[in-house]
Amino acid sequence: MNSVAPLWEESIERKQARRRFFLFGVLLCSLFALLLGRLFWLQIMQEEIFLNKAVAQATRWIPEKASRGEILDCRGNVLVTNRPVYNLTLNYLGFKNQDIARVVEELVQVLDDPDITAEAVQASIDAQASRLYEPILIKRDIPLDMVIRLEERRWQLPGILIETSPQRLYPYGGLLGHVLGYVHPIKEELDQPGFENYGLGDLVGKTGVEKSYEFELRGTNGYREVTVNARNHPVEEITNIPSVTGNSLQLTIDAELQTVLENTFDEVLASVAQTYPKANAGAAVILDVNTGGVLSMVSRPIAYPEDFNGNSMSQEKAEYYFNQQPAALYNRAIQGSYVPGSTFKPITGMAALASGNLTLQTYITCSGAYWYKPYIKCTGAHGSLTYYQAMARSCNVYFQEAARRAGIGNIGMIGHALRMDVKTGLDLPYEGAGLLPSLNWQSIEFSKRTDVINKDIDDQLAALEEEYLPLIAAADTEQEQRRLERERNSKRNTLEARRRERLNADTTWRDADTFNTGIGQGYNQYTIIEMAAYVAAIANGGTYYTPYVVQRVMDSDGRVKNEHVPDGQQVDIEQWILDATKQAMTTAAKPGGTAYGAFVGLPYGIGGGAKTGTAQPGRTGYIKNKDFDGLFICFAPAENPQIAFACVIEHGNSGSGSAGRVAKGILEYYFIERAAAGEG
Amino acid sequence: MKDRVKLVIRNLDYSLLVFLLFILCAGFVVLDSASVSAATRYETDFLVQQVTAAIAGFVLILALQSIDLSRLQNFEKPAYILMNLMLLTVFFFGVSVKGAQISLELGPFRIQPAEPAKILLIFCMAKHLAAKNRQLKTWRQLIPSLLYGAIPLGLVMALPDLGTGLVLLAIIFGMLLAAGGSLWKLAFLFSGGIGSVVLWIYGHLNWDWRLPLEEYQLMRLIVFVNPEYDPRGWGWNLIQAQITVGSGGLWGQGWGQGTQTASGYLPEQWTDFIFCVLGEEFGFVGCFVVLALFFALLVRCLMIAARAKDLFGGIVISGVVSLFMFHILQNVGMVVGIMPITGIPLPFISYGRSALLSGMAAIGMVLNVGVYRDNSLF
Repeated sequence: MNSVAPLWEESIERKQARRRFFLFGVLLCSLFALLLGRLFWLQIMQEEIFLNKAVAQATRWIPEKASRGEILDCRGNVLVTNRPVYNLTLNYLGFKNQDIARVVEELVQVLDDPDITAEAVQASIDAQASRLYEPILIKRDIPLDMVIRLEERRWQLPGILIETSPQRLYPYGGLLGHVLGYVHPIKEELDQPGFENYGLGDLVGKTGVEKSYEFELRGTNGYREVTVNARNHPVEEITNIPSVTGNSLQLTIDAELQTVLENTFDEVLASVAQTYPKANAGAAVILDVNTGGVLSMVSRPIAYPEDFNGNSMSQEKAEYYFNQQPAALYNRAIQGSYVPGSTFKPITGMAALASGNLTLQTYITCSGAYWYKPYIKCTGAHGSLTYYQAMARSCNVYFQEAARRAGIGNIGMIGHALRMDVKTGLDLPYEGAGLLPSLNWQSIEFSKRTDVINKDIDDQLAALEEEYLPLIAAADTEQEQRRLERERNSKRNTLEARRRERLNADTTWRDADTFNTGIGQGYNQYTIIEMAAYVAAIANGGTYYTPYVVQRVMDSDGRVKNEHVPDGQQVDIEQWILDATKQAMTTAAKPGGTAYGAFVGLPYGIGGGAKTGTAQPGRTGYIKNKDFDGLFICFAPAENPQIAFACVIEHGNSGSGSAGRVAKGILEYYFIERAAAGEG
Repeated sequence: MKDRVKLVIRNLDYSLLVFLLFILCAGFVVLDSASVSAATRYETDFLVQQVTAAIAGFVLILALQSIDLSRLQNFEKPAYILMNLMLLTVFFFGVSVKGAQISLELGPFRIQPAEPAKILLIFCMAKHLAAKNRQLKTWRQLIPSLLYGAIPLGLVMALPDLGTGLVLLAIIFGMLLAAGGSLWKLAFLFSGGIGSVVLWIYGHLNWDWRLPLEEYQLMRLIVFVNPEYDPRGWGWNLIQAQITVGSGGLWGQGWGQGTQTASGYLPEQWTDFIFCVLGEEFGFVGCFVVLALFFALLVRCLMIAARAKDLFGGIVISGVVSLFMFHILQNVGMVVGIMPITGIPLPFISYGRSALLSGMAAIGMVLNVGVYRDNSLF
């Protein structure tokens, strides 16, 4: 050590000072231990967490919406395609709360659009409160001049983005609207299985093939993953997965035939409405009898998918589509149930033939009204009729007797063989099922009714008991008590009598019910697609094809991914019965037959089979014996039938006078115009 | 003169210089990567500027060895007056930077008088305390020394330069400790001071007491307690600093590979937040090495202090060590989230020429004490 300045070197103060420097050393050690300990915690123990945070805050996903697949008709005409539209969105990320109000205010001012108010924007934000990390859609499909105005004010409007996204375009307008269906931003589907990778603002098919083929049409969204710096400027692209356009659908529908059907339908509807102003709705279906393919399908009132394409719908339009009677959105061809009237008679006939109690040689005499209660009138006094003649003239007496001989059990069996009691299973959503009053249906329905009646009466009995017990207990004299007991017993008996009466009335099948069913009235109710499918099965000689509208699914490059294979099953009806009934239906399409009007003027040898129907629906809005639905079913040509047709015009008054005229238009187009053009 | 050069060559503490050199080099390496994004923006080559300043710093260090500091003690009074005048000048003529008047513009130069003030305070305070000859046990003995330090401290606080004020406070406390101040009384002052600050802020938040703090200073304290209070605003730096350091892991992402650094998540990462860059790119190992170098440097300073020829020399070194300790605690501590954010640079590593020169001058003083440790000459 050093050898100088003994004064300081050897002083007690120096020793004390050195102790203080040692204390400094201790402080120094603890300081560095503290810092290193904390660094160890952050960098070694918590590394994963901070690394993830660093990656997360520097990474952005930019979704790229896939184009929805196109929908084509059977010849490749484009029925639905896409056009790019500009959507106004608000990106919540990167905002401080206090900025939002200012930006929204600015936005409202810049746009000067009555739809976009501060409240409306706030409502959109609130609606998405749980998913604020996604862009909030403020207005879909804004016009180009608005886009330009917004771009000019870009710096005043942080967080406001204009995204382009594909939107549905319908080159044919309202044509086939019900079958195509519409798309709309997803809502309740979000909670359903299969929709896990959908986000708010995504479009989803709500009706028609847009709905039933949603997952084919949707495509796969792409995305870009980019790293951004602290000011959100992209620095580097990490991944770029392009979106894949959805698969396109080729329908069995023929756009040209569809146009003819819709135009004819509208003309007939307008002309019928002149006489019967209530006539404003109806539906028709044309099937390929050899595949079940739906060639055309119409429902009125018309629905324009484009109306659902925008942001919101006017009150008036919403009323038109959803609330008014008849609501336009409803596809009457598959969702509406109609009393078939005489179009049911082929089934009654087949049931009678199948029962063995009626043969093709049997004559039944019509004298203008049936001889059993309730003595239902016929359209005339037809005299002695065979099966063929009765079908041609649609004799109510003959078919009531046929129904009596067949029995409701056989009618139910034939109806069931032609699947009139279940949904056809075609590839469109919301299909309804018919109501066939078979024995099976009766047992279910009647036991339900029995339960209702019993419960009602039992409740009343219990109430009676509750009313009288305290009265009897509180009676002053024995005499009074007995009087009350008698009173109660008498009321009890009255209720029991009412129970028997109601059970008898509501839960037993009467002969009259069978007669009514036989002529297509009573409980009968079917969809138009069910009727067309049953006609097709008779026409093709006994194969029931499940109807369908989508022929093939193709990827965006046009490669076929899935081709529909006709799903045909032999119906459980003897061949001679089917043949005879088909024959009988052709007589109705010949001179003297009720359906002849539709076939007048067709080239020689075409012909066909048909049945008219005039039904009394007995629903609200229908006055008994005054308001009738007009129905018509047919197939053509008579030899080797190609098409089956079923049609209803609500309040059409008569089958031949309304639906039959639609059939006439179709048959003329199909067998005259198209034949002349070298097709068909 | 020749003898003096010989003496300097013989007595110079080379290990201290080597530690300093290593720390400076580590700083250059980190600064190179930290300033990549800023260099283009400011059209300045931060690294070249820093290296130039460091070379000047070594010249300064050598120049400081030319005379025994202990013999300059008589200049204490003029130095004290000069220091306070400098601070007053800043107070009246300073250029405002981020709300605090801390710079003086002298022609083309912009100097920050707070930096030389630290060095002058160490010098003056050392003389003042050495004269007391360790008689600092009673309040009567302590209070004049406290007032001696309080004058420049008050001037700095009035600028207001809270960061430098805290540094001066740390220097004063450290030197009182080394000069033999009563441990109990110093501990009482320390804890009492912290306690009253906490109470004051609590009172401000709850009962609206008047607080002589700027909003940003208060917010820094609030987010220090709860960073999520305003994660994209006041809490941003604190949160990002920890993410940046934490994502470095054991070995770091590699030199120039730090994504946080490259993407500019931290403002001014070449100055106050440069330790983040070190943490992200060189990991725990890099941080350990740099902190170990600092530790070695400071331990070496204390060893020189223990061999000083007089009380004055030891106290000077204690002031320097306090200065660096506080800078390291505050700067690294804020980065790792155990101290609130204040704009205090990391010695020898953060970019900044004034700070670098004053830091090296401080080392020069330490070396001076070591060089003139023998009383026999001069």
